[in-house]
Amino acid sequence: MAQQPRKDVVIIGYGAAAGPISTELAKAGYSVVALERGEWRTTDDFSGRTFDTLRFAHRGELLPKQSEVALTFRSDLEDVARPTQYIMANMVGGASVHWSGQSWRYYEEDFHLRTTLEEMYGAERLAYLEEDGANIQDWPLTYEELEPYYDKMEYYIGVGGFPGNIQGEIRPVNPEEGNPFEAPRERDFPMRPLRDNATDITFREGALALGLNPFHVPTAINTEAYTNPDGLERPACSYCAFCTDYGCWNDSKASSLVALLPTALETGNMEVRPNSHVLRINHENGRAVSVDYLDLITGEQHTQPGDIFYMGAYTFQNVRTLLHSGITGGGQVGKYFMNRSGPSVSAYFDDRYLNGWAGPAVQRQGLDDYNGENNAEEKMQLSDEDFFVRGAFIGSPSQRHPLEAYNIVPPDVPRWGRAFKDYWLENFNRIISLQILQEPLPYETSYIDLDPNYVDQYGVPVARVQRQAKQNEIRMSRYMFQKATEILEAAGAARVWGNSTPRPTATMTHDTGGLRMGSDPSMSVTNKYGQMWEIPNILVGGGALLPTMSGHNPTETIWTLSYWTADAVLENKIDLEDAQAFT
Amino acid sequence: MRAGYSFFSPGEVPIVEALAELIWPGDDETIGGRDAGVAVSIDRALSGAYMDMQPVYRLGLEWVDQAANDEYGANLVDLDAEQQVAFLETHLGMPEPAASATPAAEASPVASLEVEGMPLPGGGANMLAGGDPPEVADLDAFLQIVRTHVIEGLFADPVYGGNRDKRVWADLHYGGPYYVHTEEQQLTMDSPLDIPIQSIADL
Repeated sequence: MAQQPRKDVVIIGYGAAAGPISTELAKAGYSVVALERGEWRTTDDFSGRTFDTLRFAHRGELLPKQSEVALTFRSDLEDVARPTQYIMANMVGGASVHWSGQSWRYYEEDFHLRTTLEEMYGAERLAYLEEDGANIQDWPLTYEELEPYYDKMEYYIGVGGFPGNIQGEIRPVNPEEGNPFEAPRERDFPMRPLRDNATDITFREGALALGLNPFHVPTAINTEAYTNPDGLERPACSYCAFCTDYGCWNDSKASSLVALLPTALETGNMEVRPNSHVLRINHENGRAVSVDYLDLITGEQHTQPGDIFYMGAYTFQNVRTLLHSGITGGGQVGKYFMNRSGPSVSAYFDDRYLNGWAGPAVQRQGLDDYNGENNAEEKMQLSDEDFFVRGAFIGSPSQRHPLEAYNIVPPDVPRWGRAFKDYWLENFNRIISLQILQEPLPYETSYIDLDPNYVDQYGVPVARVQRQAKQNEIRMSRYMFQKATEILEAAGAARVWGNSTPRPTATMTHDTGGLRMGSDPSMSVTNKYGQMWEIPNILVGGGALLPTMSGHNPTETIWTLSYWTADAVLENKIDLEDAQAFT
Repeated sequence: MRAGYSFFSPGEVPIVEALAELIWPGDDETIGGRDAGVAVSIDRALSGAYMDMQPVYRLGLEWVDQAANDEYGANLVDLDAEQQVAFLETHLGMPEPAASATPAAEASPVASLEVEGMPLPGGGANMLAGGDPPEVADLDAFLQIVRTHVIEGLFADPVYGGNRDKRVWADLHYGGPYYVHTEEQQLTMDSPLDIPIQSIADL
């Protein structure tokens, strides 16, 4: 076993979350090492030779083999959990390399959901949530506190959009564009979003016909050559259609790999060790002292001592590493896991072509009229059997390559033979399948622990995921199915079909909770800065921190929280000896 | 000239070709699974990425002819066209249950491979430490896998041996991989895009 030289900061997994904090601390002179179990790929690895739907979207070439990183899953706590596939890459930059690029701020109410719901609906209407074991807590920080860090994220990493709300003024730049429900921002985005395509125009027509408020989703994809405040320049998007599930060929899509790591490396204070799999965190007297990791190339085990340890891997891996290290947070580690499930709604048109394969997935119009509590008045009128809280973003994705679209078939069309082929010959360029991003809630019975039956090839128990769709998700799904269907019908679809029943899975790329932040150490794992109550020199990053989920993609908030935590270290807002002594 | 086969035996190739043609039938205007080279693409996959599924195919193709003989008194390739379709209706379903209407959307890049109780191509439950080698319950389950692999052969880049001469993409009016799409192309709504069909080799 080889002892490595001590570093100020040890990053356990260089995923999305690891990018901001490691770059900011390296810039400030801290010595930082990132231990990443995946490979270190570069942009050269994502040339046109990777414009290959079979290898990437279909076979998931960037994804780890199940023998390397495994998950088990059960939706019924009486069942034995079964292995399932991990769908986030293990690589330097993590899933931020193959993400879609939708980049959202959360709503103000997302930060105090418990208070919001109690005030809006009252205990009686919310009783069904109590019965289902929902455990909704306010975040220990507010949107107002985080706003400057959202701003920082958007300008350093590069986000394009139309502003929906600058200091209270709605749609100040373009009266037709931007999310009118968004939380107030201090200033405009640094650039505009991707342009609209035929699918976007069609979705928009349907939404406007219903009196809704469509807008182009904000994206962390450059729409112009953009130089960030660190002087890092990246080019504009070329509208290739190999985006979600692929690495970006020209660096226009932001990732921690291309938008942050180069700046960190330039300081000379940042070291990345790929193929380095952290097995456990060694801790004594309530302090982490080192990590043991395997060099996956040589099989040698190393020990890396440090002062600050940052959990920068994906939700499942962060929880698993802590539990395997005997760090349980008084039973809180792994609790209140959330991910999305919801309806699916698709359509084909007979009066137009959409050619939805000819553009990136997030060239996308969408709407928030049914998200959060934006439609609370309508929900209040629902019967007790139909009432639900929170909502969903609904949007119109592109990037419909044949091998990514072949399941978008109405239920009465056969899956093979003449009728199957005729359907595709007629409709391949005429289909829309909506994104419906439902907000799930945290429940006592949705959690991650160590599987008692399965270990990985290194002998470490795998993460076991328990998750169910409860009444709130099922009712929301019925409602959203209806609303999404109305939009496509209003857009003139010849046929709309789908499925209104949510089907929970272990993982769907928005896997959050499990290491939630909070005000009360008995009901949370970290304080408001992501500092663990139990071991105050372990800082937590990533989606696991989120106490509640929102109906928006989490990556911008994950990056923003990493800036927020970095600042807490640099400004001495936290005491690495005592997690309760923060300011 | 036919490509060589590195896994399928001479007797197995016609069975795979017949299944490919049944799943994606050719006609005067458009190419079918047989001429598109789907059997070649599956053979190459079984010789590489899906090598762990070789025993599944070896056994599964035997099951095809056993069942065809039990039900119609002859091997699949010797049945008439109507009997072949009826055979597949029995064993592959027509149409599939509504649950499969769930679009892959963007929930999971591998959602289309998640077939309950089956090994995933290129690694699956069997790959987990302490797991079992891949196995498939019965003929119907095997044919579901074949269907997925046929669609891969049809819709993937021609570099994999199927989609010969980009013919399937041409039939779908799919342009293949491009570095750049123009605004004018993306706003085209009165027709499929009229641009040259490219494969990875053309980039």
